[in-house]
Amino acid sequence: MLYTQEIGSIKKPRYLIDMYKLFLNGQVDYEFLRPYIEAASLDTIRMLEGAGLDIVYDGEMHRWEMYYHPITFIDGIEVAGYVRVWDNFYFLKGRVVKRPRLIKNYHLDEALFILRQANKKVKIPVTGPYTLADWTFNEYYRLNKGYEDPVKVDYEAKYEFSLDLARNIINPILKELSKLDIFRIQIDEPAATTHPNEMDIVVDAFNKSVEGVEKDVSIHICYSDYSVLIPYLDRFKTVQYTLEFANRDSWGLGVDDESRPGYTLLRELVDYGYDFELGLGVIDVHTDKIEPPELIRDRILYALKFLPPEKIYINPDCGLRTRSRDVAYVKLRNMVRAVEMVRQIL
Amino acid sequence: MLIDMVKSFVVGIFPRSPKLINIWKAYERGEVTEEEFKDSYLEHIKNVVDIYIEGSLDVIHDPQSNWHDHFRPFTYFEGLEAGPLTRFYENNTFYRRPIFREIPKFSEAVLKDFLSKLFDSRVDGISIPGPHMWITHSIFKGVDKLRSIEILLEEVVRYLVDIGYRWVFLHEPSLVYYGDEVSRVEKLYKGLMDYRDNIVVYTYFGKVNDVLNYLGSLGFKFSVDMRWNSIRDLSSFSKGPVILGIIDGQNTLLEDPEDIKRFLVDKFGDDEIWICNNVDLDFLPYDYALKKVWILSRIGGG
Repeated sequence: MLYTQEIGSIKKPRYLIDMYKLFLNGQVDYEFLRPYIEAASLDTIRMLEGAGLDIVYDGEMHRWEMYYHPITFIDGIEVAGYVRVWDNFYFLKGRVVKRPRLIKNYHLDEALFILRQANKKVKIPVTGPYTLADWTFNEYYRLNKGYEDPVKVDYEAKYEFSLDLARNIINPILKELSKLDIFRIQIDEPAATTHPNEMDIVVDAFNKSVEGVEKDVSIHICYSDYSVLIPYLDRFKTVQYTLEFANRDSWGLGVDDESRPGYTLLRELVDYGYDFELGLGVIDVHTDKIEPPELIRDRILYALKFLPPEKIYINPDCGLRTRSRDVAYVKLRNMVRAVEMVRQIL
Repeated sequence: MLIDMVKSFVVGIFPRSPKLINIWKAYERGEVTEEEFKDSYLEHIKNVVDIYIEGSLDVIHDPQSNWHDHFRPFTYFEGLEAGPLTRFYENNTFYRRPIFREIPKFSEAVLKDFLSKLFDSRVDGISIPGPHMWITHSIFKGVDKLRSIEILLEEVVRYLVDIGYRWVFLHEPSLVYYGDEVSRVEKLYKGLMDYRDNIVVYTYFGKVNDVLNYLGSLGFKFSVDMRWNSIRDLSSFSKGPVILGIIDGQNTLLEDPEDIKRFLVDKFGDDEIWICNNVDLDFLPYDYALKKVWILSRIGGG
């Protein structure tokens, strides 16, 4: 009970970032890059195991990032260029120009490497179909649709694109991964609640992705308006919602409602009749300030008022890639210590 | 339709070129001097303005490519500050919410670094947040909301018009995304009535509503986002003040200029019609933004 896990990304070591840049600029080939990836992957697996996590991954060392990596293996999506996210920060955004086709299962080698190296249960995160669609310019499905009813046209184009990604890209990847000795597959859908009127697309694309997959699949949604998600919870064919809480919480100790303002969603979930596992975010990934074990303990104890321990997994709010590896390690170590405290209490 | 009956132009922040992005990052890392950085920026602005001029666009909008977001330059006014990073509507784009700690003090010195008009007289349009956007997206700490916005905007719009901006585009996505009551909007726009000939209320991310009809009745021109509205939705408006945001600033899919001309002829006959991008081209990569400018230019006969 109270399994501990990381969400996904950990900051890459400097040597790997430098080598990825050379690779992305075409200055070295993948075979040259590979040993650097594997060294960082192994180092990260050991780091997470050393922190005491029950379920580990390699912190996305095999991926440049969660969007660019998949689209380089999807025929039909081309890189359009840099689009601003904020200030002078950009991401490479793609454009879909024909029906997407999977070139290669882009998580298989990664999963096999991690399984060979890890001494703990393994989880593999996979960027979800809706987020891939939402972060891509939709040309192919929008072409020649006219100007008469733009809202309907956009919705239908998004639906078709998301479902094609689910059917042709994500589902075959998950089916192949599910044959391996992986404990859990996690679908990341950070864009899930961005467009409230598109929740039907999010649900249908997720369910199409997991169709015939013989492994438990969880879904991670963060920095979102969860009130948009709640009415749809029962429709996702998932075993676990992995959500962000700590970012919204106070830093004072206590297990009463007033001390834990970031966790009010738990009451709403119980009122809704929530019967899934919950990945409980107990670490704020956007600050270097280290949560003491006692604070994390209290966050978990508060959650236990609403859900039984066998339903709760303990994790940071999101991937820790924005923190240094040292800070990430200490935060995770404290998280594990907090769980040990709670297990003793129980 | 006569070609010169279509007036076309670009509105909003134009994306930084890959070259400018890289120099900006190098500048932040201390790898290029301030002079090199400024030269690069000025070259970028000149290039974009040249493209607008060569395309015979009917408004030469300030590229505003050194604005991190629509609010940011104003947050350097005394009394204001840049707050938390916040998602901009339903996009993977974020801005810093302005925080009002007191009635803001207008400062020409603060604005001058952000206005291309001051070094390129060809520029005659600019985008700033409209009153509804200010009030919806700001955090107010013990100051009167309406009064703060009223004073800020009156001074800013007066200054912009005084230095030669002929068109001030007031960005108002919140007006159509959230909607509001006519009476509240009337209060927000009251102080801007003297400048209504210079103002275009630029709306996006939502369907047109009664509030726009009301602003039109006061004499304000306004634009509508044609990604959210069909011509059917516009039937309750008189054609005159409506500007169609018909070029999609959120999709790299390139519109066929001839296709759009046929559509405009079919819907508007020989009436004069103004068209522009539906949202800032900053949602696109630089190369695609340039292609959208070319499309607008072709439709407008440039």
